[in-house]
Amino acid sequence: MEGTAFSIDEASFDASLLPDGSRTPGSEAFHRAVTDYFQRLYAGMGGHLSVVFAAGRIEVAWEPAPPEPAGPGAPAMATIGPLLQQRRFDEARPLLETLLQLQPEHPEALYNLGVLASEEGRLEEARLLLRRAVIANAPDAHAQANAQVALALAAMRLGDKAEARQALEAAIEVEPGNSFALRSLGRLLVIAGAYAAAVERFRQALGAAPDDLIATINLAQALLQLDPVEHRDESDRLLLRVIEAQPYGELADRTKDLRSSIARRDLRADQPDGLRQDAVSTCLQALQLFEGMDRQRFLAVLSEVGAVGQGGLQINEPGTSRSLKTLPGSWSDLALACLIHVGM
Amino acid sequence: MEALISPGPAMPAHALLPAVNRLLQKVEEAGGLPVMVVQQDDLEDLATVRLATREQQIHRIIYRDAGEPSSYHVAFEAALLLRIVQVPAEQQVILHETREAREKVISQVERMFKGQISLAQARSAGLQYYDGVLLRLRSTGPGLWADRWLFEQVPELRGLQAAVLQSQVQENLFCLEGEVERLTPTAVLQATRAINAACAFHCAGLLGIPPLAIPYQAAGFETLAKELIAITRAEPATADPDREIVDSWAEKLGLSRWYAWKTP
Repeated sequence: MEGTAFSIDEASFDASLLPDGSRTPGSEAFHRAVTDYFQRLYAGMGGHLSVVFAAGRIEVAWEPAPPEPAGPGAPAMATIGPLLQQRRFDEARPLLETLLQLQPEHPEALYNLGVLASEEGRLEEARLLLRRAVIANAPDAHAQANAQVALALAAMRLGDKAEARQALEAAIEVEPGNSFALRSLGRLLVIAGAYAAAVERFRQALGAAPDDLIATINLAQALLQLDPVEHRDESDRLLLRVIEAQPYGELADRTKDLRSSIARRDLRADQPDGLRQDAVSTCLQALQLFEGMDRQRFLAVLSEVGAVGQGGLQINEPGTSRSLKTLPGSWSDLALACLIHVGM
Repeated sequence: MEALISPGPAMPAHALLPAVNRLLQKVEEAGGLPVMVVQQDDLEDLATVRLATREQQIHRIIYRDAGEPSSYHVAFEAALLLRIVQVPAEQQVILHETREAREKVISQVERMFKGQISLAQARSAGLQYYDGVLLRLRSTGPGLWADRWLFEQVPELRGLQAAVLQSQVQENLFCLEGEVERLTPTAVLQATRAINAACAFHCAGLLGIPPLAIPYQAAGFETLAKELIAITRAEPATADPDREIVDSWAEKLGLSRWYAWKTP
């Protein structure tokens, strides 16, 4: 709200708004109560209020606090931002469009409209908006990097890997610690079969955001693709970290699949001609064991076995024997690997 | 049918936002006649509607200032026009002055300024007061409805709407000044202030800026303003909701005898 100034006759002030004993125009109590009334109502607006009594009139003036430095269009974005955060896109979109019509190169409007178009499958439109957003956001490295990442995503959806890669590399150049850009470039490199380069990017992404579970699982997968023997243990440790942090849902399922692939590979390791019969029978025993077990106990067993397995399992050493808190008896490393394999 | 846009020199056709063009198209479809949008520098008001006549089968929305807010002014007039064209032709009426009320205002002005200005000047001033308050009565109630309708139906305009409405509330504050009180016939002054108060409370609520209404709450207009706003929100009982609003407002403001409805 802009500043305001107005004047009211003391006699016409609505006395019912004032406390008893302060309703007589012209009196000191009236002036005090009227001042309090205006101060109370404008308090939430900040700024500066002046209430002056002169010649039987009340002169009121309110000035807002000087605005903090902000870019053009900031007031509108202050309204649109919460809508976007609450995913009220239908309400945000027309406001963004209006803002863009008023300021055709408004950086935030271009970026957000581009992202919306991309999410809604209007990919060519998204690409054009986001190309403009990259240029408009040039003064702010972080914003420009985000625009590049969004452009890359739209390009990827269009199947244009060249533009996607170019945009991601540009994003990393302006903001080397942008974990999303690093992770996305890693994925693109995996698709291109450049696993070593992908691993490097995923490691950089995790360096910038150590708790990024998607980068973690992507790194594990890329390591397995690069060399499943050499990187087996590191991959398994990474996957366990994901499953501990995210035991349910799509990410967990993907992690379990990858761990199963590790377990399968372990079981086949020394049997190039077929399955190990001892492993098959141990897996069958594990299946019987888990059958009918309630979920809580099942998870307890699985997490303990998983924790033990983190230190590495010697499945080809027949003499190994371990005890578990959650299951009676002693267990070979092969049996533990089978429990993990079947449980996952 | 495409809305006909006749831009003035400073406002190219594309300056009207797409949402406004869609609205104009809607008006044309509802009324069955083309709508022309014209910029006119010397227009007294910000914008107005000239309804189609038998001779000129075209509605005109005329706006004064070239620039961004014009999109809202045009949309506002289009919203009002949309209501008007939906009234069955045989029921369409126009608000006319009544001689008795007009002369009453004029003679009041003559008395106020007796010996200070000529009778001709007093008559001219009285006419201006009378015409002014009738115009506010005719347009403001339906206008509050149009503001709310645009807010809900054309959210693209909310940014412009907020700017335009706040600016109107600010301009109206002048009417609370002591000088205006001394120069204006009491009935006109009270009605105008109440109408302004309704606008301020309406904008405060619509835009979520309660302080816009503070001056009028302080001046004792809150109850009346809220009653006037409530009238604009009531479900219409006839095919001419604007007429209902105007009549109910007139009753609240003591202006029922100031006008008569006549067929065009």
